[in-house]
Amino acid sequence: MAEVKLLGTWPSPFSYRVIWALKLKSIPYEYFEEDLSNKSPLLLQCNAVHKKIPVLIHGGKSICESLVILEYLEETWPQKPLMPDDPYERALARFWVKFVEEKGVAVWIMFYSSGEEKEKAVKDSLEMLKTIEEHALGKKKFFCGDKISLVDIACGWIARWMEVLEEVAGVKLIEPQKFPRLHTWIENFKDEPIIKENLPGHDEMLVYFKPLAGKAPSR
Amino acid sequence: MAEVKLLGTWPSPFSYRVIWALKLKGIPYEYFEEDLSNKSPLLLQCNPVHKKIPVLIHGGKSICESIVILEYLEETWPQNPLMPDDPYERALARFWVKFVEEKGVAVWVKFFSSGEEKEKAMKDSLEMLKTIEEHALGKKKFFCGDKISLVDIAYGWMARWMEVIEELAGVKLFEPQKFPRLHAWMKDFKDEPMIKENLPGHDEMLVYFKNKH
Repeated sequence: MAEVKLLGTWPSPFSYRVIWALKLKSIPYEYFEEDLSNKSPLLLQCNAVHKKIPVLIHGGKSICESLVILEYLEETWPQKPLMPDDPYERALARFWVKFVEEKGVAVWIMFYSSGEEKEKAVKDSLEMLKTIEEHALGKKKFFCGDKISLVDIACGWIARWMEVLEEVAGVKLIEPQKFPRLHTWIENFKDEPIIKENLPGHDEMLVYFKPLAGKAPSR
Repeated sequence: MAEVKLLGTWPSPFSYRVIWALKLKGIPYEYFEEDLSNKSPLLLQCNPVHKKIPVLIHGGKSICESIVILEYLEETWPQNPLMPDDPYERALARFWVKFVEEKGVAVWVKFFSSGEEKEKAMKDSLEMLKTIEEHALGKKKFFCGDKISLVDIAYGWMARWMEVIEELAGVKLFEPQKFPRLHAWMKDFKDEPMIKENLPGHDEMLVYFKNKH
């Protein structure tokens, strides 16, 4: 099987989505840390449209966008599947991935903004979390059942990045008593051995994200 | 095979995405026109999270979000495939679907705003069109080759809705000489028999969107 390369950055939850999938599926790969203030020629060539990480390079071909990469990994390496077999279950999985992609942005907006914009973002974030709590998890350990799936991976940023953003922005969104299912899911996700071994350090993340609070990110 | 129902609204390009896929794959279905100012109990029950159309109901189970529905149709009815076989080609297809979802669809609403917001929307739209023109189509007839795919279906709103929006918002973004590939694609897409027979009327759409905005 041709070699796999991953271009990423250590504070990026999108980067980690791909790392988790690669590790869970036991796919060997070579990792390259990008400096986004000085993007490598390889990155600019492989992701000409967005110039963003993560980028997966497999046998010389590049695949961009974390969720697209996850589906590609799933189809190219069918072992240790991260998606259910049944088409309806798969549709539900894709529905929730899309939901978190679209609505989860509110948490990042909350982090990067201030004043009225921040207040609205807090409100939107709470609504999103409420929907996940009430509709997505049910009694299951993970989003699709007993095993980690693409949905858990897509939501993985909630399990580590969220607490950092909350701390720096001074807003507590996920109160365990308000979101018991989500809280349990976070604990279970972080306890999974492969996830546990592949999470960025809390303190390093605080140092990284602190100066960014309340300022719109430059791209 | 259990029966298929589609809840949709006639002016919605998201609704049409599903109609095109159903027709292209030869899947029989029953269509229900929703009144969004008076949503049916069925819609509210089947899409409690978003309360939006389209919703596909198959054997009593409901699937929401047009792109999710398309992937579901593709997996459940493999005949007349709308996706390439090769995983890399499929990744490219999904990349371009995501691109139009984020850059295209989200922007068109802003055409009906004014001042700075409208100007930014126009600038973003031009950039999006430019990227598609330069990177997505190449020399192919359709996004994935000679046959219509999920990607063409996802972009289908450009082939009819865009002209209506431009007309109503008084902006001319899509100039054929600036976007020759995209222009050719639009023509080819609208000429496909299954698409041609399943497009909302231009005049009806003008009236509908005029009243809305």
